[in-house]
Amino acid sequence: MLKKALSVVCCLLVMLGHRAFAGEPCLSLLPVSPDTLPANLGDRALLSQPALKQAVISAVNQRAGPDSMHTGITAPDSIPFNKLGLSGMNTSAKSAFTQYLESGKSAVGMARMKTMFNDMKDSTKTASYIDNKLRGFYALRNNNPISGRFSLPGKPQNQLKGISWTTAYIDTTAMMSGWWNEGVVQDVVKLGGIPIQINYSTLSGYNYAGPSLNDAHFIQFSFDREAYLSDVNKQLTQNYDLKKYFLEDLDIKSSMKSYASSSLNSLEQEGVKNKINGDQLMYYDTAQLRQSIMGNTFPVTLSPDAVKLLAASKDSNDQDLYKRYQQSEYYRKVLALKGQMGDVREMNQLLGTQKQVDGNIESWMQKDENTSKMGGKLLQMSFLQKMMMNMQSLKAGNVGDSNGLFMSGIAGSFLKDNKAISLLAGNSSELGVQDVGMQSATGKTAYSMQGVSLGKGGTSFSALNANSKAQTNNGFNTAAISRNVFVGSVAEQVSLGSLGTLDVTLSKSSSTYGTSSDAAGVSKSAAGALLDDLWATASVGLALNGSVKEWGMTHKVYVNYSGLGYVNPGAPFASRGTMQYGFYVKRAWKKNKATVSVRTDIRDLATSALTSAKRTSMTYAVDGRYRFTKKVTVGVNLLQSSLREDKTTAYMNRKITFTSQANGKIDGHVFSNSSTLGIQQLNYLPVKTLFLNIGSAQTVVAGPGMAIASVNYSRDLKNAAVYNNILNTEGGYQYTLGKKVSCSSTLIYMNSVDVVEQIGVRQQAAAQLYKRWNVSLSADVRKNLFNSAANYYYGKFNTAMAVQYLIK
Amino acid sequence: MKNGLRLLMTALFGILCLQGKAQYTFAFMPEVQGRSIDNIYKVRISNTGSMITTNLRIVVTESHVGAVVTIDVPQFQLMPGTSTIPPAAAYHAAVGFGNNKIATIIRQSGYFPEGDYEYCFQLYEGASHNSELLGEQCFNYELEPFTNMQLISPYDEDKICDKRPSLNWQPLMPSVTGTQYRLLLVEVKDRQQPVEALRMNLAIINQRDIPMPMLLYPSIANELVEGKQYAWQVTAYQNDLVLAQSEIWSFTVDCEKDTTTLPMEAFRNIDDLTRGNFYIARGQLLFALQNNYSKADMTYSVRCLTKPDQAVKKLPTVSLEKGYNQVTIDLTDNTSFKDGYYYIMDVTLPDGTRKQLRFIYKQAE
Repeated sequence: MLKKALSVVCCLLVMLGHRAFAGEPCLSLLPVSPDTLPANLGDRALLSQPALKQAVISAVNQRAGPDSMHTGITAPDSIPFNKLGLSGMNTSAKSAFTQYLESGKSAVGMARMKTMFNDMKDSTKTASYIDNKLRGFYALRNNNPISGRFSLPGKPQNQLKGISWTTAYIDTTAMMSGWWNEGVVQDVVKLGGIPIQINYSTLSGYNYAGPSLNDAHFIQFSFDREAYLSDVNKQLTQNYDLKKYFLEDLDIKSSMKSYASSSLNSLEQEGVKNKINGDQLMYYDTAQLRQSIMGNTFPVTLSPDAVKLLAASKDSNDQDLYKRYQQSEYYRKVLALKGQMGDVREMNQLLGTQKQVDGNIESWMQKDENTSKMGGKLLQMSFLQKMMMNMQSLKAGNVGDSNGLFMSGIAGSFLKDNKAISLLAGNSSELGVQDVGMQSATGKTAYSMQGVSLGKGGTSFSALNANSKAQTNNGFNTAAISRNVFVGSVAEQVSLGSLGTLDVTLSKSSSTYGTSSDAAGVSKSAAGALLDDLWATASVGLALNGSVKEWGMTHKVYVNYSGLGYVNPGAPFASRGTMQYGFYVKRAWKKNKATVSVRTDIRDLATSALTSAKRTSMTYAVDGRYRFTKKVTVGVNLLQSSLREDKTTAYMNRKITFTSQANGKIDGHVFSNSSTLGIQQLNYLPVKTLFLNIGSAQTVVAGPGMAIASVNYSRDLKNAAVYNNILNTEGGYQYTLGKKVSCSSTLIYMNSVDVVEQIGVRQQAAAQLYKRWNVSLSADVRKNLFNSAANYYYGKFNTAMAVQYLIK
Repeated sequence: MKNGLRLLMTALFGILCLQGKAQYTFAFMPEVQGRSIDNIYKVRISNTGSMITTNLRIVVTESHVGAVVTIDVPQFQLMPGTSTIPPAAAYHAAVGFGNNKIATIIRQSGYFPEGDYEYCFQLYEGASHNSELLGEQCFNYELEPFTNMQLISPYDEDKICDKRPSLNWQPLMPSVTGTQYRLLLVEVKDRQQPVEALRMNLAIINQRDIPMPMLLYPSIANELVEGKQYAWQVTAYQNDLVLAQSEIWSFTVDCEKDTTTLPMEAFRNIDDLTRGNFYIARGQLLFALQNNYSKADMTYSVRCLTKPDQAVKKLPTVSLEKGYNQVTIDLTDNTSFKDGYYYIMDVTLPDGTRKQLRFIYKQAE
């Protein structure tokens, strides 16, 4: 099996070129997505593009008003405007810009800024600083910078989000406990503007037969990134118009033209008649410009003495030459100006870039996630606040992840400049309060673990170190042998264009136990032995996910291999000794009117270290759905799942199910119906069954409420099954009492052949009180018409009460 | 009678003699405890004598490859009666491995692959193996490792409409006598991971004693709620011992809904519409009209201008109330209407006036 697995993996790796990678990631990771600003923005520095700069300066000048409006204002001397290339600002704009630069800065900050301006050692840094500030100043919603609030509210805030308490009782014998209680408190604390969500919950149970269970308490602190970004965004948009920051509202072409015209007007040259206009400056090449200014003559260069002599001469030839000299001088100044503005190609490029940037920015600004990134540039934020902008997630306390790991500890991930780091540390436990009364014999233990993952672009490396420990909480007393496990992983995400994205993970585990020479601890660290037993302890995963929008198709293809010796405490339910592969394709036609999905999952499960003995699990599923009209949808679902060993099928589950959903009006009454008809063959050694399943649920609006009826019938046509020969019928009515209380009353008849026969009544009521209180009650009471010793499933009494206090 | 008395006396004497020397026996279930290193030392030791300082050596051999694992548990106090090895002693056990493929897999994973194993427990007095061997007992078992339990349906992250779904999974292989299943199903709340929901939330189903790899949704449990996400996991157990756990899957209850959302447009008076140019009908015709007569069905028909021979059928009945009526005629499911085609609707109002409304049909987005 191993050889087969290897060859499949190798083939795939060859197909991919030489990108070699790894299996089950040892930490659950966030994908590294770009967090930088849209492309080209950096190239568009204002200071190096006079036309843009001029346009922005004119706008801020206009906003600040003419100097005469603010009599008494003098140009502040704290900022070297000329040095920074901002001499075009009028005095009132200069004054407001200075206020903007100074707002919220301490004396030390001011001194640092001034040193930077005066030093000019790192001119690019200064330029980008001023560029950002100038854009920010231009984008200000309010002309008076002092009235802006550029920092997040720092005062600690506490907001209770909700409290709920649920008590439920069920008397089914095979339920662990009769009574269960769940209490939840949700609260949000904002410290220094950073929102932390605190969730406390408790789960307790009382066994009607034995002693009560130990209460379990859970607490989780989590950084609420969404709320934080939304706060930053709110602060940002209150003060700034981001479209202006990105110069989206500037008409670059006309601002360039007006800059060209005003610059030409200010060119002083005596004796030149054929002055050119802004359009000519922008679009003429040098030959055309010369033609316009000098006719068919060519520019001349003269020494200053010669110029003086010519100016004084009365000779007509001399005068002609002098005039030509004046034209030449003007021509040279025009060329210099054109050089400053850039040639036609550059201008076109700039206009093109602006269009492209506008498009990019428009979609980029749609997301809070993106615009809030500007917070770091435009708001006054502390180091911690800036750091939290890049914190993707941070949870502490009782924390679970997408790999199925549950631990008490801390986990977080941080992303900056497309580089990511994730860390986790904590103690995992195998069993929870729902498992009380059981002891583990799975061979898994509790671990104390630490993990780190570093990523850049689509690539990440991770490492997890875990030491076994005994679990002694919640009434469990599980011993463990001292053991150290180390798992190293490499993961790579490659975009294959229209085919989708390919995720490749390569992972390798290594374990060591205590030895007689060092019985107290582990012989040598597992990390040191990472390269031992390579294929037996490796895990390789390839997954291709993609979609073809034109065809309405989504697809997934995957291959995973893991060695029989592979173990990963960070993914406790991951499989070992398996070669699994499969695909999933879903296609929709006619605007989702028709959809078909096909899925296969095949797993070869190795059992022996010496031979290629294996079990094979195969699951196939086809699902088709067709929406005839908005009112009627039908579907068919085929499923086959089997488990084979040595040509013997130990388990076979075949099922075909037809479904229909309909809604509409009958005789003016709105109704909906959902029905299923299925045949299921379930062979599970030595039992062979063939079930017929029929189900139908109907709701009809009748009178002030809604009538509900349902029938579920399941029958083994081979009479081999003890359970599941069931007829369950319910009929009820949903209504409201006094506008506030919504109720439903249901009558039930249930017959599980040879096991139990019941009639019963279910009453539910829910009400919203005083806007914020939700109370719901339900009770299901049944009478056994017949009962047997085989009845573990069907109790006679189930009740639940939930009280919720919600602040939205 | 005499013989009987003699027999009884002999038996009593025998018991007295036996009590002089303590007996040490091992209770070990290889079909459960012989599957992993972390379970072997859960062997139960019974001591008929008084408390004694002992140490334990566990030697596991496989018939084809020889020695695979040796576990030396350092000294511990063995209490009278039946007890297990104290956790502290177990934690400090020294584990040695053979040099073969089976031992490699056990060393790395902690689990025993397929093999014909012999598990021997040797109990020594005091702190070292050089002292007196108090008892030795061996167990043989031809082991077939458990297969990872796999859930089948509802599929992971699927959307289903059934509020009382039946839940299916693959059984534990190989089957161990007395194996039953426990199914736990919980709601996954906002911002929760499925594993967090399973550990921290009140269960909707926490059903034990399931004999087969399938559960019909319990009649007495409250039905699932549309729009909510649920997580579930199956545990295979024998008595109070958890043998294996499946992975955690989740699904959402989400019934097929009418996904075509028709744009909200104002109802313009039919008189305005008939005067104007082609009206664009995006999936529906909307207009308002005044009916000064009693309630009646509106008489109307539609012709296709783009393909005049194409009949327009199955138009819904529109009933007009007395007074001001806002009429919505939904055309999305009518195959007579093609995107971009031109149509004319002839309407005869209850007062006998006839109106013509020209429109271009556009599919609703």
